[in-house]
Amino acid sequence: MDDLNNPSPEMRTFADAFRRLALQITRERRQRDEMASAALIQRAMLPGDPADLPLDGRCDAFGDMQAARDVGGDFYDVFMPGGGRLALTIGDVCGKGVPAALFMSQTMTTLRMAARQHASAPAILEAANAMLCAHNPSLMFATAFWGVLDLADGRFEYVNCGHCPPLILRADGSCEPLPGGGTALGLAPGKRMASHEITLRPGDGVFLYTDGVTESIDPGGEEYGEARLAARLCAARALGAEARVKAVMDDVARFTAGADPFDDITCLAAVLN
Amino acid sequence: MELVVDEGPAGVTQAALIGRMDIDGAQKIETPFRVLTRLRRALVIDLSQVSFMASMGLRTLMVGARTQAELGGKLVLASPQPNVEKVLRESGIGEIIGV
Repeated sequence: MDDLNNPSPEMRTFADAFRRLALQITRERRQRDEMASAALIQRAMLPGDPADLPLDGRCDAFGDMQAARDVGGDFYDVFMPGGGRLALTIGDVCGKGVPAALFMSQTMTTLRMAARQHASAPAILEAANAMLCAHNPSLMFATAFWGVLDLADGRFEYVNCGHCPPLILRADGSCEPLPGGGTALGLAPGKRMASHEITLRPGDGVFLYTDGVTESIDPGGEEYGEARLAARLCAARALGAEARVKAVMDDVARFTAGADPFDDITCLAAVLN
Repeated sequence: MELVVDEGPAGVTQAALIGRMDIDGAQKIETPFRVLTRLRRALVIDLSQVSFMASMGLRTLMVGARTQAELGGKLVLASPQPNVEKVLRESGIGEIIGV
């Protein structure tokens, strides 16, 4: 009893160390719980299997995401807005954890709503940007790429809002980034969006990705990079969409020697048949 | 991540960011950077020693630029390394803030 009322210096040191350890355990558990919640939010927003869409063999599409341990705000979407077209979207919200996951879900929902209300790609992105800017005191933002493929004639109209440019992989093996950029969503109210258009021929494809792919680092600190991604895709040009996505994600895993990604890794591929 | 401030001539404050502007780096300098943007009206943010810029780093810069604008000041970015310049250009934030 006397020891408890008048602890020795050794006991005081032990008590302090135990208190610090308890605080650290509590912090780490809270962070794990937050990341688990963020992962649930993120997963709930992902689209279903594109194979379930009525593509009728005209196109092959596949997407996948590998969330980081500290969950980021990557998202992607694949759906058919009508008129024999396939919409492909990919994006990346700033930050990690629950705030990023919530803004990610807000961004995806806003884009889907805008797509119901507007016909043109610029109008859709301008409307989504306006809604995201309207109540955003924390200045959260999301890079986003929005593309719509006409399955009949191969026209691919797209708007890039600050996202890393997707790659177009032609049947002849050439691989180029899609030209055109823009401003991330949520930052600039009233921003006018510009659309671009290319035409895909049978066998051509587009590959959308997030910077978690190209910024993955190997044990020596070197980045995976865009050149390595383009080379991997060129080597996979005879493969379908799912195989292309898996080829890139497997290549990134080999490059990082199996290390946990520090950022979400997301890939979305479409090939016109 | 470090923030080193130097009061230059004509009332222009030069602030150098040094290191990786990832989530940890952005969190580390968030408070001193916020204080700086509230106290100064002409800021040049030297990015020459920033080796990596993540989205949270971009957000920190955007919040600082907005604070400056609300207070009637001006914040510009200077001398980004090529990989950082690419991130600023692709996101459109370089155009909003000014490089």
